[in-house]
Amino acid sequence: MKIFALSGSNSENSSNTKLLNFIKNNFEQDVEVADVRGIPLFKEGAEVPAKITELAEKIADSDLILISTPERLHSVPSCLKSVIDWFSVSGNPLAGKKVVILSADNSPQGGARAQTRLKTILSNSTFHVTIFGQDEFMLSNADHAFEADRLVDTNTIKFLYHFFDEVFEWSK
Amino acid sequence: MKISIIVGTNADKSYNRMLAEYITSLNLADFEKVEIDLPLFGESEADGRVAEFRNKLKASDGVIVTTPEYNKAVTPALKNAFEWLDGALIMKPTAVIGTSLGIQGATRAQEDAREILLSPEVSALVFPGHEVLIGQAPQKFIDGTIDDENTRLDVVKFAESFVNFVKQYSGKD
Repeated sequence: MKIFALSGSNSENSSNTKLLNFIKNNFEQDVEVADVRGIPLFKEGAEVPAKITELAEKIADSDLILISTPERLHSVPSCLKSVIDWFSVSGNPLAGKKVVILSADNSPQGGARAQTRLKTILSNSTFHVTIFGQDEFMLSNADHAFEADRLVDTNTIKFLYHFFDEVFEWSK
Repeated sequence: MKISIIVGTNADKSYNRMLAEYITSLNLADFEKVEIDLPLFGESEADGRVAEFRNKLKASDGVIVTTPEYNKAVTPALKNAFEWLDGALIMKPTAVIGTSLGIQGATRAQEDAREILLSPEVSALVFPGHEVLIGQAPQKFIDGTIDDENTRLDVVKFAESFVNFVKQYSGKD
């Protein structure tokens, strides 16, 4: 199984990117991690950026898509919304794909509100995706969750494995 | 009394821009249309455009946001503008209105915008009630005006009510 994991952050030192890299390094599946840095802000009628085409190709090649979203102002960050809107006008690479949404945020809520908005966005009829709808994974207090890129809390790690047990069962 | 009207998109052609221009033409206060051409938040330094955007809003007594809907949420350009605010709208009377090509009138985007405006980092004084959802924009916006009487009345009522709200809150005329 090929997994493509997109971090919806354009920050340096992003916890969402760290979370996806942790998954890549600790699960046996083939996981490729990318982020949304360096992509011009969506504008109607503008030329589709090269990086969008690259991301689209990786998505097309994958069996399962993970998207980990930060939360900014109780909603999805503009850099991620931009990428999703680019996808919707450039042939919709997400069509028919299975998508799992995760989040990481420094608050105790761990990005829950951004996840809800992102699920609403991706449920739009344009996308034709199937969104994982069982358990939810929110990484709380994200700034303190990692030491040398390893998740430190054993309960969090346990729950992450449990979460992915469900995901892999669902995505069969 | 100064009211900024933020056009919630960077699109070249926009019915929400026409809506902002229509509201401006009502001359109910010193209205100024504000475009959102800002660098990408999270990867850029705040520049002169960001400073100007923040200063304009800070100097306003109230703010109206016109928003389209892209994929059940606000546009990336508008979300980006909100991310640059740095407190410029704290306790500032702010109203949301929107128009769309389909029937909905930007329903989900208006909700998304209000949630963002109510988030603690933004803390705008969000204008309650007076929801105006303008569907089928191409049939309504003709030659720089609103060609549908009911819609026109709704928008005028919205603008008048918001101006009164700002007057009450700011104590200004």
